[in-house]
Amino acid sequence: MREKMKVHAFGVSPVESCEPLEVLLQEISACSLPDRVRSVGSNDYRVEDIRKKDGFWLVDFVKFREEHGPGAASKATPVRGFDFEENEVFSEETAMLYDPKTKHAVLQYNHYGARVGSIQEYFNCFADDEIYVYEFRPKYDEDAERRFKQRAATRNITFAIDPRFLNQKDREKGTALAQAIEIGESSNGARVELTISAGHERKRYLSKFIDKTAVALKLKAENNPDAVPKLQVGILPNLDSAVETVDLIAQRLSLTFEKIEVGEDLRFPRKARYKALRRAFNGWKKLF
Amino acid sequence: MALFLERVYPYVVAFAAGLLWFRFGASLPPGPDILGSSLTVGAILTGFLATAKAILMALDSPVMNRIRDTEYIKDLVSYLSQAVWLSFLFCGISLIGYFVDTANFYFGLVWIFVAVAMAAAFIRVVNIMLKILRHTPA
Repeated sequence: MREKMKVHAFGVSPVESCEPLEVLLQEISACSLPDRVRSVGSNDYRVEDIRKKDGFWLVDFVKFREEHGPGAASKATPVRGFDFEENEVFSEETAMLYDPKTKHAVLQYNHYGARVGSIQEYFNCFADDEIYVYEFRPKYDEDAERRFKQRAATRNITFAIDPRFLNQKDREKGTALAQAIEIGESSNGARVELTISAGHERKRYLSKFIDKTAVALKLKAENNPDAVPKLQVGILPNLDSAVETVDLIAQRLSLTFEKIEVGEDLRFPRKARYKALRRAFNGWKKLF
Repeated sequence: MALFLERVYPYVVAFAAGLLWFRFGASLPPGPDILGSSLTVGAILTGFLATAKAILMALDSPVMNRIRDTEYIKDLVSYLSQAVWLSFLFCGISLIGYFVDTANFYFGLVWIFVAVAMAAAFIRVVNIMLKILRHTPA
């Protein structure tokens, strides 16, 4: 059986003057498995496997799913549960490749497993006193980025925000839980989509102020991809040309491997996942 | 409402109820009926909250997942456990009432404080739970 696996690219930057990520990875690799467990949100995470190969760090994360899960069944046999040892739970795996030279990471996308936000938080809380603080920023397609940066003017911006959800900032600002839930609910919508356009008239462009909004939204999308699910900008490469639409979200650097071998235990083998990350990295090498 | 207020209001309301009780020199009605009723209410609320806790924690909805991803989960767990323990404490106090003089002013003061704190903590949890459930997609 073969299945799809998606990977994303991220730039990793240490905040202020903290040590590079490889120093922390070295420290993690020296720890025993139980010592690598850290809590992020309400789940525990662990670096399950960590190794350095050909100058790259290959890291496999595990998210402990301390909740109910699926059973095993076939069309001919009834569903049955898995046999767990004491203290065992379902665990989700996510592989990451990190290149210390370019300071870029390639990350497997596992919807139920460790995702970039949790991984960033895991690293940041690994040691006490915030010795290690890193930011993982999604990498965008260089061509889209270049076209956006070199625009002569902006004719329209379409962006969407998800108003439903509370976030950590609400709590830090001291918003009560009931109120934080209610604020999202009062919008009664899952998504707010807004288009600011200069219209069809030639030689009318959006003002610099609105143009800056696109830059601010792009930055927001890089920091928190869930916050801005859509961001399209209609740009003019030069003032006489036609409008070109640049999708700054869709053009996030990602790659889908269509046929990753699934093992007999119905998991993606670690080796196959590492191999896919290496292939993705080699393909994007020039962009990093 | 600010987070701080949400955290403390059951106790503020209970304190206010205690003050009123003190001001008017109230006392519990004589006889074991009030104790029996209190015990029933406390036990029902304890059972309800224990079930609500299990439902909420296992709920796989976008808003609940977001709460889990933020430190709001600590607040939610704290609200639930406060409600459960206050209900349990209320049962305990009602049981003690069978062995002591319930007409005693200080027993009444403790009873009203815990009763009001329990009711407010329960309302707080139910209010949040309903908001979360309302958010759950059909």
